[in-house]
Amino acid sequence: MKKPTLSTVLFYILALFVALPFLFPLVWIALASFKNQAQIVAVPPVWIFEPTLENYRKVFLEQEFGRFFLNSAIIAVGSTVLSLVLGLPAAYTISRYRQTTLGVLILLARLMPGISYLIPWFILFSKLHMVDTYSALIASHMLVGMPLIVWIMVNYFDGLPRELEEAAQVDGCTLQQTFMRVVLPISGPGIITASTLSFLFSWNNFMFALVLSADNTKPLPIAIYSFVSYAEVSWGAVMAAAVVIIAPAIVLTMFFQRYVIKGLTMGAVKG
Amino acid sequence: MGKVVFEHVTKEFGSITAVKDFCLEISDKEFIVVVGPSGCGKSTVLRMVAGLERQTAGNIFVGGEMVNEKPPRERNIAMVFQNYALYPHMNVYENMAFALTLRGEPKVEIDRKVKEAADILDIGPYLARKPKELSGGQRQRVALGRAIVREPEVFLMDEPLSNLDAKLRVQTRAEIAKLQARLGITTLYVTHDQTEAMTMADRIVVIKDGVIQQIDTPQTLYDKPANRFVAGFIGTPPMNFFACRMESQDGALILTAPELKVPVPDEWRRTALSLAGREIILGVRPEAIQPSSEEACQLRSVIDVVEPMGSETYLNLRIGAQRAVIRVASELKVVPDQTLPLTVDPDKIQLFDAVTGLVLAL
Repeated sequence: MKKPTLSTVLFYILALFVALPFLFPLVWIALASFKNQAQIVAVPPVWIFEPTLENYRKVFLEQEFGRFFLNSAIIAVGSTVLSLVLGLPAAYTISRYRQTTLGVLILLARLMPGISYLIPWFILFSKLHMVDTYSALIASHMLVGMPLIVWIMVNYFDGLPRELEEAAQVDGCTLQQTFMRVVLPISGPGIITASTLSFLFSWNNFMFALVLSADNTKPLPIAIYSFVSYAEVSWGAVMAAAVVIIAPAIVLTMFFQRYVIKGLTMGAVKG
Repeated sequence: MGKVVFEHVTKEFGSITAVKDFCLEISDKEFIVVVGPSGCGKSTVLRMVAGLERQTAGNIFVGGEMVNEKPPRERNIAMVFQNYALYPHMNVYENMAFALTLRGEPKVEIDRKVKEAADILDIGPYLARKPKELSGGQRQRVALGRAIVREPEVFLMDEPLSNLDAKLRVQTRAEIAKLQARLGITTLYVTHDQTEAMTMADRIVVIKDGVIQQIDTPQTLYDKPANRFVAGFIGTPPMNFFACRMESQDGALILTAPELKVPVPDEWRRTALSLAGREIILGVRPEAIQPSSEEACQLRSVIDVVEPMGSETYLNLRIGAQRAVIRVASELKVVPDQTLPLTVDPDKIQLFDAVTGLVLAL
């Protein structure tokens, strides 16, 4: 093995120093999810203890977390898929036909603080009797997901060589066929990035669901809340629930990180 | 019938005129090369035939039918792009079959056509490969194959050889010319490389700043350029130009400049007489100037650089304050800074108006 040089050692020390503030809470949450209430609140913190699965039992058996997990999944997948269906063609036209106004309008919807929509939406969806339906939640999450998809994909489409589409047109494609048969199949990396991010934003979203969901559609972030009662906060269960929420997000990010990082920096440096 | 006709076609991009009043009739089976410096509008001409660009004014006919309003897919043309534009997600077979599939041709028929084209182009063994697994030359062949299988009325080729290395370019050049002759499909080929134009074309269209300078066969362009631009653009090394004055001495007309005294051939006399005393541009091809004896000297040159090419040698010369490049036999032993007397082949001179650059007729 090569002997580590001073600079590599320094690099890792520095990297650890930077990563620590981000990783520490995650580690703490994961550890706490295996502790009992007394161990969690102990000062100084206990690092060596006998792990218990009691918290997970509480989460899955007492609280139907499986169902909340499913709710979250339906909403996140639903809003991402619908955002793709509407967003991809929109991004394509913005990129190819310089629909800057449309682009700015979509961006504007994203820039408005989500909380400013909450009250009007609650009133609107109540009147439509749509509060606590998947449709209402999916629609509201699209507000976040679609602009994200549109803007990542506009950048992506801008970077594709035009000749491919021109070749397709000369070969006999209509505009729609060009999009479906040539543009989409080569946009895999962009679509993966955009949908991963859109999925995560929906998965993590708390605010919209707080107002628009109830017993039937309660997603994970809201469900965590039910471990906080007037009498006590069941920290162990909260931590176990948090692990359940974070795990898919981390797995997804790790799996697609190459694309996601590229997507987040896309447009900054055209590679 | 793969006739292509341009009727006063003009294309403007905003305030920039890319192509101006372009008129051209391409007969069936003809190989036309459009040549000009970068940005002269030659690719725009091609793209207008393809329907990828809509002309601002004028009409375009393909196979006798006006195609102004038709989208690319209805024009029955095939195009080969500079960077090949192969579909990266399809293999070679699918790339070639794509247009036929879209047309809804039966599978058996598609298979026959693709295999046939693959045979012609020697890409049979690569049919299952993706474009990224192919070399530049192979990709080029696939791009050609994709065009051939369609059996279009017209081939459009946009600098198809410029991404290939020099050796492959020469080889593919010959193959495209052969292929075109064999298939007998009207071809409009765009390039900035005059060698490609000279070697492949039935007729060459030289354009500059969106305006046609001359349309003619390669040899005629070389021998009888219409203006100074064409004369300088066609041929390597390019034609030499000398700023001279037409003078009459003892009844004979002579072109003079410092270190230069070239008698005007008799057949030019009538034109030349009217030009006596005026500034004239003398144009001579590099091979029409040769070393001479001291007595026969018409141009007294000093050698700047000697460029041996193997079969011949290029000499970069100074003649007074003017420069020239000539082509001499490689046996001639010369060194830089040496003085070299030269003579001009009187049958091969061209005279150009110093102001307009137009060639002066006999």
